[in-house]
Parts: sequence; structure tokens; C-alpha cells
Amino acid sequence: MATSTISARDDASAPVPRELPPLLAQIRDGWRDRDGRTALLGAAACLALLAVLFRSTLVHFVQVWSTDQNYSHGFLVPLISLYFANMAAQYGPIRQVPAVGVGVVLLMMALLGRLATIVVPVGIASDLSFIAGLAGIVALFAGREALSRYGFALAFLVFMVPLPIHLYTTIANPLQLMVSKAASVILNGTGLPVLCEGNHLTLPGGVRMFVAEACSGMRQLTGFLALTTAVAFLTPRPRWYRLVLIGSAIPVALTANIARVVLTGWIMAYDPKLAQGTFHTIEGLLLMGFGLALLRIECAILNMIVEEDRPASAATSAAPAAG
Amino acid sequence: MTTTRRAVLGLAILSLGLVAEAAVERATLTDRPPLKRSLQTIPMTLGNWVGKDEPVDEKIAVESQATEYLNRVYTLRGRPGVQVWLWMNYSDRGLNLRHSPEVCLPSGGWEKIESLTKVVAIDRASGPPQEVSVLGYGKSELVQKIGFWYYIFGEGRIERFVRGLPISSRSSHGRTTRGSGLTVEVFYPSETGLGDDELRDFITELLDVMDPVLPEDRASYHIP
Repeated sequence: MATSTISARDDASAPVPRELPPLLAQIRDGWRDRDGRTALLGAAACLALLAVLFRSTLVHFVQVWSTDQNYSHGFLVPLISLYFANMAAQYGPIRQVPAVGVGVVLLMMALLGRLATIVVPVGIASDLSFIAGLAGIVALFAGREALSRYGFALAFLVFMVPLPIHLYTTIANPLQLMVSKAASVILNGTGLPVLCEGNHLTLPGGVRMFVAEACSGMRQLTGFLALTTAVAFLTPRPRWYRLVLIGSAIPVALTANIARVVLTGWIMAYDPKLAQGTFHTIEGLLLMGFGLALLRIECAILNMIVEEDRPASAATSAAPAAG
Repeated sequence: MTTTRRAVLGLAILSLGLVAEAAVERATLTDRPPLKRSLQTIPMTLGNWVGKDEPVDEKIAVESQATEYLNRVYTLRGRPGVQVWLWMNYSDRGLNLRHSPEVCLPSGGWEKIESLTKVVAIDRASGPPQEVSVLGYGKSELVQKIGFWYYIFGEGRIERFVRGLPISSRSSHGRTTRGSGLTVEVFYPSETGLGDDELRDFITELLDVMDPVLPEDRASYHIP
């Protein structure tokens, strides 16, 4: 991975000029010539029009991010995307490879998606079309190479799109049942007799416990998927390593939630009041930490495998491992 | 192609999009059907239930984005403690569909109790059963249940089909409709001693008297 460096200066007493972030520096450099200025102004005008066209989608995003706990991370996603775009900008100036056709096709697809949602109530089509529209503007004004370079940053925006509630429920319900069953097996195995009926667990003394949708692992799954994708992108590792990392989001989220339900079961058996309100929230945060720790352990194991596979000559010039 | 031409092309496509948006909006304009009668015509007596109108806080009335609403307490004859609060809210632009219990109650500090949440089917004398979401919410020691369902009027057959697909947002999750909408919420605190049978009885009586009020072109949903 390339890194931006500030060249060392012989005159230590002179103040070092503050460098702009690479993305802003690229925009500044583009502004210096007339052609670049036209491109930047055109892109800005197109972005404004795109925002007007997708105003209902943008309002929907903000509303869901602020009211639905499953998507409260939505506010962070555009910022993380910008961070990735800034990282991509570190590779230096982009060669202009015209991609007018690609840009036009992407913009037309975005329009069709938007128009389709006026006729039929499929909100997610409009949500994804907005991202296609952004990609279209990049292709039209910055070209094919820019689209390729900033493609990941644009694709990452998918994580801010709320799933339709029905689809969410369709995925979350089986996960909920799986977590309940696995947790009851572990609780029985660890000496706490539990009767499992669907998502209801009955503990000794008739104490009933319910595995909520929030404990299905779905909430963590969306977060972990975004996180592992980001880590995979940032890690200078082989493709298989990155795929394993992203694929592990599902078992890690489920494992963390099974652990949460098992812990809650034991706490409820001791004192049901401790499994409610603030205690339950703290427990959730701790288990989120447990999930992150699992990911860290996984990265460490994968790093060992990568180190073993790497020839001695390559090992000396490798970038430091992330994750 | 020069940069200027690319800019003109991009702006032309997006401007065309805005024009097309307005045209499609106009072409698919629905009548946003009004209610056939005022909600106030819902009788005060529903079988064994006797109702009384309750005033609504001005702020809540504005927040609800309702064109018309009904807020009543119905008491079961002979059992003064057994009461249900009926909140019906009609919006000619479907804006009220944003205000499902899952959005509004948590903002008031109520936490969802998922073990109390289920879907019940209310049998009707004529027509298919009415599916109702029964939701449970708690705040400190208080627990209340809510029977919830809603209608969208005038969307048409295609939209109705698409709304039933798992890819569409069937909920009142911030998406408005091209039609109008009515939400029905039946609140009952758990300490009132109201059971599922009484709730079914109340909703059955209510559904019968709602028929003359609702527009014909309607679809019923229950997922918040």
C-alpha cells in the first residue's frame, strides 16, 4: 500500500507547510487548469442535480439512520467511504481514460431506478440507483481509471442502504431460531437445564427468557460485514485472505450472539433483574467487544498462515500487517 | 469528447431525469381516495363496548400528520376496569404511515418486549381474516400492548402485488404511498386484565363498523 510522505527538509527551523489530504490535494490540482475546473464544476452541478432527483431517498436514509438501531451506523458509512477515497487518492494523479459510455449508462440506470420507485413501492431500487448515479458522475468526469480506483469507496456505500423490513425479518428470523437452539444446547451442556421452545427458553424455577430479534446476530452482522470489508480492503494480503475475513462476519456475529444469550441465561438464573435495562445494554457492548476480539484472533491466525506461505525474500519487503 | 461537452451531457441527462420524474408523478397520480364517511361516524357503542372521545394534545395532533383522527376510550360493559384506547389516523397523502408504534413509542421511552409480540388473525363474518400485529412495550413497571394494522387506499393492483414482495418496504418505514392511508392502533395496558379474547371481540366489532367508512380500493397490512 502506498503512503503519502512529507519530504524531509534540511532547514528544521522553517515551518513545514501543512499538506492537504490526498483527495483534496487532487481536487486542488485539478482546479489549477481550465479543463480541470470545468470538470469539477460540471461534476458538482451534476451532484447537486442528482441530490435533487434523489431527495426522497436521502431523506429516507437520514430518517432510517436516526430511528432504526439496525442502521444507526449509516451516518458513518459515507465518512468511511470518503476515507477510502482519500486513501485511493494517495496513489497519485489519475490518467484520463474516457468512459463517457459507462458514465451515461450508469446515469441512465440510476434514472430508471428512480422512476421505477415512483410507479412501484420498491424503495431499495431507488437507494441503490443513487449509488449508481454517483458512480456515473465519477465515470463521466474522471474516466475509467478513476472509477476503478474509487470503485471500492463507492461500493462501500451499499452498507448505508437499509434492507426492506420484510427481507430483514426473513433473514433475521432463522438466525434467531439458530441462536436460541445453539444457546440452549450450550446452557444444558454447562449444567443449566433449559427448555427451548422456538425463541423461548425456560430456565429452572420457571424463569422465561426470550431471544429477541435484536439478539439474532443480524444487527452485529451488518456492522461486522462493513467492518470486515473495510479491514479486508485495508489489509495488504492475498485475495483468499480477504475473502475468508469477509466470509467470517456471519459466524463471528452468530458466535458473539450465542455467547450473549448463554451469558444472559446464566445471569437470569442467578438474578433476572440483572438481565434487563442498562445491565443488558452493557452486556451487549461487552459481547460486541468479544466479537471484535474473535476477528482479531482470526486475523492473527491468518497472518501466521500468510507468513508461512511467504518466501523469505518477499517477507523482508512486505508491508506491515493490518488487522 | 471535451470536458464541456461531458458536463453538458451529464446535466442534460439529470435534467431530463427531473422532467421525467415530474411526468411519471403526474401520469401515475392517484386520487388519494378520501374516506367515505368521517371517522366520527364510528359508533360510540360497539357490541358490549361503550366509547368516550378523549382530547388529543395539539402537538401530537400536528406530529401525527393526520388529515383526520379519532381518539377514544372504550370500556367493556359490566367490567369498568377493562378499557381499550382506540387511535385511528387518516392521512390523504399517506404521511401518517411513517408513524408506526415501532417508531413513535421508543421515542417516548417505551421499550419493545418481543416476547409479547405476535400476529393474530381476526376472523370475519364475511371476507378474509384481518391480520393484526400485537406488540408489547414496557416502561419501568408499566407494560402495554398494542393491536396494530393499517390500510393503503388507491395504490392499485400492481403496487399491491409489489408491496407484498420481500424486496419492497411493506412497512410504514418512512416510505410514503401514492395513495392515502389509515392506521389503527388499539392500546391496552396489561394491568386492565384484558385478554386476547376480549381484544379479538373488540377488533371484530370495530372492523364491522369500519367497512362503511373505508374506500373500496384498499389493501390491508399489519407489519409495522
